[in-house]
Amino acid sequence: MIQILHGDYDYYYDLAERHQDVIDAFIVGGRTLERKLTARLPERARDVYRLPYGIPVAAGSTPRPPRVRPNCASCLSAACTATRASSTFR
Amino acid sequence: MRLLFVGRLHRDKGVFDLPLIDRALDDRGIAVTWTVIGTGPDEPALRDAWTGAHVSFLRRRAHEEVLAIAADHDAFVLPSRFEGFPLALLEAMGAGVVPVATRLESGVAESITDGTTGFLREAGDIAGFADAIAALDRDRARLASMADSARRHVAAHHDMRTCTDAYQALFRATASCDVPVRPMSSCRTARGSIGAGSRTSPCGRSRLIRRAQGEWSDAGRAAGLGADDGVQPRALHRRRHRKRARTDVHRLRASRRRRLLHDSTVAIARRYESDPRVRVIVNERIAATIQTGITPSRSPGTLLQVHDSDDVMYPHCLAVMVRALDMIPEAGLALSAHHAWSGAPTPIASTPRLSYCREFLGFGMFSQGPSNALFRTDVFRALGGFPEVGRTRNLAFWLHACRTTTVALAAADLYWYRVHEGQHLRTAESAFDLAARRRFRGRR
Repeated sequence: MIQILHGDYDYYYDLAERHQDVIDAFIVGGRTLERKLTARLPERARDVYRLPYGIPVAAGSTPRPPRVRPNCASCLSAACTATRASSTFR
Repeated sequence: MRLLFVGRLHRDKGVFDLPLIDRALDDRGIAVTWTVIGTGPDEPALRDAWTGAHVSFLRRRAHEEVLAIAADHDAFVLPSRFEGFPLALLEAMGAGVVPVATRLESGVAESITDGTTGFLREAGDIAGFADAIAALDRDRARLASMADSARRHVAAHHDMRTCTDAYQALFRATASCDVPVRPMSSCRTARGSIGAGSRTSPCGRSRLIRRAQGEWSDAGRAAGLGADDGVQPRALHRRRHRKRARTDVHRLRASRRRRLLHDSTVAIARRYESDPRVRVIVNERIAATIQTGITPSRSPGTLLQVHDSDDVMYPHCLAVMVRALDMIPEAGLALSAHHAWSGAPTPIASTPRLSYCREFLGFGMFSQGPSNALFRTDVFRALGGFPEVGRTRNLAFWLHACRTTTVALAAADLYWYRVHEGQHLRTAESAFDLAARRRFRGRR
């Protein structure tokens, strides 16, 4: 039985404390969760594992488009209208 | 600037800061578009408060679509008041989107290095959020640099393959308990890095078993107790159960005495006798005439187990049963089964009424062998034990027991129920009874 704590909420810590007898290992996603859980269950510190979440990563740096110029009454270019209406029309 | 928010539209996420930040950016002359992905209880109020052609509410989208949309943005704005470990933030960073987020201890501050992989601002600091976004807008080279840093951070610490391997390694180690673990190098525990070398799993079950073995060995090491098959008293690991869990193991069926002797069942049971909690009775008189039976008066302990030598009790069986009785004090016995439970969390307190409903209106409850229960001895004595004769003796006993006392339904499959030639269940009479009961159920 493994509990995964994915939120810094008392609810999760309470669950861990309440059911620790039947939980073999605890997985936390970050250092804060790890620190707080081990503080609540110091005798189970050896069973707390900090395993980061797996996230898809883009292959390379994302190409950035040129900066969109500020939208103003004197600059209603195509780029401006494509990105944002003038504050006058908001 | 192309700004993104992904998350539940709830005030805890600071969603009502978004229109304020938007207005502050407008005051600074920064042209932006907003993409808001997600739904939530505050969506109507947010839509009312935040209008304009530059704001797109995309509501709920598929995960892959969110990732694709994120890649077309410059900054991810997360003005949350509370967060656990925001995956949307990490996914945005992984897509090369610079995060501008509230400085929250859990998750956010761990993932963002202020000024390098993103910006951290205090909760409700509208001007701070707007200034950070404006700084990115003014310095596109910095925007690109920080986006790359954010992506590299996620690649280094949250690589999908590496993290998946780490999870699987932990699951394997926990399942097998004593198998050496080789977690990934990026995984750390409360006691430091565990990446380089192998070690024995410190998982909880292993720890419990080791503790149980230790306690058991206090009384039985002299007898050379180990992890033999059959009864595994190491499951009686809790100190508070020491006095209560005086389990008598009755190994009967001496009608197959030759076979019992041949497979060393009695010999194995005898090895546990040096522990005062265990008493082995080989009752040849009863076993000569019936399949399973027991003389209740010979049960000195608090808890009693009638174990059929045909079957194998899994190591965790007694622990689960004892725990079920502990959690439901009014129960006279704990009962396990193979497939009869609905999958709900156990233990379940089944009152006599519920037990009968399960048997006659539900999916059956009483097609059990004696092994599948752990009794409180006084209850067992009061029930009179299993009848010694009759084709439906076990069924009659269960009907009587479940009418008399509450039953703690424990987890299923705590035993391996061995099917073999010569089994009473395979006799014509028993087969008839079983077929009749199934037919009865099928008519409902």
